[in-house]
Amino acid sequence: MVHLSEVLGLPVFDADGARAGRVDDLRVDSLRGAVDRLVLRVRGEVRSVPWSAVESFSPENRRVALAEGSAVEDWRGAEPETICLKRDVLDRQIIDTQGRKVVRVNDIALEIAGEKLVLKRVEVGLAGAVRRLLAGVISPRLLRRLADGLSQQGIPWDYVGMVEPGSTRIRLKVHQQLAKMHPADLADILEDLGRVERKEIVSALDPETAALALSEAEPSVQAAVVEAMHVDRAADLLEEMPPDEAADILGDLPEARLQAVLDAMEDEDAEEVRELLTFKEDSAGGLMTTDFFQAKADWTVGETLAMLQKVDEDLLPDMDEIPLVDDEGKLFGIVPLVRLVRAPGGSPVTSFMRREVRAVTTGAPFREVVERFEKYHLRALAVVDEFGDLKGIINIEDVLSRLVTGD
Amino acid sequence: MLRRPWTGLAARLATLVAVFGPGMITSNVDNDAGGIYTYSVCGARYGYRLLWILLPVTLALIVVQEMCARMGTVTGKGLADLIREEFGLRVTFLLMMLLLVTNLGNAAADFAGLASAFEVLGVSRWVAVPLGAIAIWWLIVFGTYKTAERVFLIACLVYFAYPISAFLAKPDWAEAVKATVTPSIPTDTAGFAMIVGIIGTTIAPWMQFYLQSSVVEAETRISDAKRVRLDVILGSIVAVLVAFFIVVACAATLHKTGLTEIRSGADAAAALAPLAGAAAKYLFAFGLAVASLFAACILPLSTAYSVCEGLGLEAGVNRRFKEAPEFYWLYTAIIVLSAGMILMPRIPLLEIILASQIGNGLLLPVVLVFMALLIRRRELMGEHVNGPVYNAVTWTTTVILVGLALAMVATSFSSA
Repeated sequence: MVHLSEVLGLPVFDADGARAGRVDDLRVDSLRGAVDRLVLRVRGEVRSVPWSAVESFSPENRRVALAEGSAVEDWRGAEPETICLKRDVLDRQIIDTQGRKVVRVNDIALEIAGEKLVLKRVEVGLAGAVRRLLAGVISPRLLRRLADGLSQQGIPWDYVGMVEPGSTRIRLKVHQQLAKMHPADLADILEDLGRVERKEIVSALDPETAALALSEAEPSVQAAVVEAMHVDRAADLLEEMPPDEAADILGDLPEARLQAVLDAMEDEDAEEVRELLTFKEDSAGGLMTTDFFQAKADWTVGETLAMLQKVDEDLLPDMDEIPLVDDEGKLFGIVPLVRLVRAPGGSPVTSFMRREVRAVTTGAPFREVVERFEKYHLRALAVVDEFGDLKGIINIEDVLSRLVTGD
Repeated sequence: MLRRPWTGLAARLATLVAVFGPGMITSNVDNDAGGIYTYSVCGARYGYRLLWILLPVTLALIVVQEMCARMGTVTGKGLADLIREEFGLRVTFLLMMLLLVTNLGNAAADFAGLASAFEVLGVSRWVAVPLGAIAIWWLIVFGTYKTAERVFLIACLVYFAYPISAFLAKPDWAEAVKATVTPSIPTDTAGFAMIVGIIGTTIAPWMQFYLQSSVVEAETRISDAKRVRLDVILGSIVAVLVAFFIVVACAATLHKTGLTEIRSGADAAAALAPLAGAAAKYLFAFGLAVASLFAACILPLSTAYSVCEGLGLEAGVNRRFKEAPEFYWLYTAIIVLSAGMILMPRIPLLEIILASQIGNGLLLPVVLVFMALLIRRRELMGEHVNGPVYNAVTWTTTVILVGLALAMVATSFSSA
């Protein structure tokens, strides 16, 4: 195992044994995960040599030798699909996609495999820190023995998620791993990241995954993320969210920004959100979602279940109780899904409903909403306007999260 | 079920406090035991003479705090984080060790303040300090700090005792105003040390780390910039106003009656006599105890947080002990060491307090240099890099502080 802390500053000699410079950085081909260039510092100037020009590489003997006829070239900076370990990874925040958290890189472990120098893992623990601190201060051998005795905390390179420098996307595999994570874990990671990293990660995810993750984040984080995003991206992402959540986030944005995002959204989605935004945030209207399934009072159970088959998948988690409306869109009653499933298909759906006397109006304060939920042991509550027209439903989830995050 | 724990007036006060931004909170913590004693000693020893320092200090405080708030807002990262990313582990480690030592001194000063407050009331430090330390430790590890913070902030209203007392003492306002606008520099070691201490206690290095982390924690957005700036400016002005009135109150009472050396809490308490008469010592003890406890809560926490942040270790009270052992051990060690220092036999409380604030003044230019270097990086700050005025104030403050530190050392050698 070779550590980046031991490699940086190593003297490099050319084939004649003359001093060619010092190792300043290692450039890695990020697809292969192996070093493809040594970045050298030669009398204050930055130069480089391809890894293939390295004849012998032995940090133990503090010596790197170049092969016969290899020329030191000008350094043209990193190219696409390459990472410079010192510049881009060391001391930076990365995502441990396995441990699902944000960590800071203390050192990087590599391994000599045949001709290649391969990336193994990044070190985040005390051992890595000690190696960095004492490199060049005490003898390499002593340092090795000291550091090996300390707790090693490494993250295999395959599980390292980092923002790729100078580009607006993160590495593909990371993207895939992030998308596989639970949205709540992803939300925690977003909360821990700095402004730039956060923005890059959110833009790298597809809008649907990003929307799921953002739904789980703290309200202040949601607003911060959406405000920092490009208007069109923000619009894409908010379209994926239930309109009530989108409205909550947008309500925290400055007016100009809010309008810009709404204008960029699809008309239909924007309209729903606009309507929700007219309600006070802690009223029933501000809490409810307008995106839900409703059944007509003259349907049979079978018809209702058949319609349910076609419902968009996003709505399924909030499907415990189904509101029934009459021809004019007035709230007629509520029918629990469980009862429909057990009922004979031909019977009218109204025979299994309860008359909804508990519905609240859009202007009802949060306190009243909570009291209804608590008093009647509800999972969902219908919201109507002053004429009794069904406007939306509030799910217990929405109430719980508002209770937990405080007023 | 929905009822808040407090009702009536308390609830209204709590709401008021809840809208306090990080700037306002930081400023209130700023006037801790170190602040109260340093300003008191300044007023008692020099009368109105050093009041003029507070004007440039206000400007510097506003500029420095605004820079922190801006860096936190733009980057979403703490100061220690940024230093680590831009200057590497070794530099960060050295700075963190300096910060740790200085902050240990500050935490000790706050426990000294606690001890001193209770000694005014005739309670032994052997009772007050261990109890205070345990209470603080328990509060952070098991309690809800947010609730405690509100209580502390409300209790900070006790600072208003100083302006009232200052007015009642009928100070020579003409002289006070004249001294505020007329620079007068003492030329001995103690004088330089006093100035360094005043700057160090008002613009404490740990505050910059704390403020920036709070701004990040609060998810401040760039569209909030105006509100945050206002919060920081108001907070800074309030902090310095409190300092001003402490100096004036002490000058008009202690200095006037010839008590130029404060030797105990009881001496310093006399500055509140015009307001509270015989009860002055209780008022002073209460204020000092609150200020000390508040700062003693935040300082060890902020220190452990900065150090862990800088060294890339897990940190934060929302982590469990197993997830962030270094953080919790460091936090505990800071409390134990700083409280323990105050329990050493015959330890002079006031000297500890003053020395810790001078330590702040010595570390401050170092932190300022890092801040100035960070905030000029366009790749970090984008369009929010410093303008020429900010740069001028930062570098001038740095140069003056270094000059004062050198003058302090030079005069101490020549007099020795």
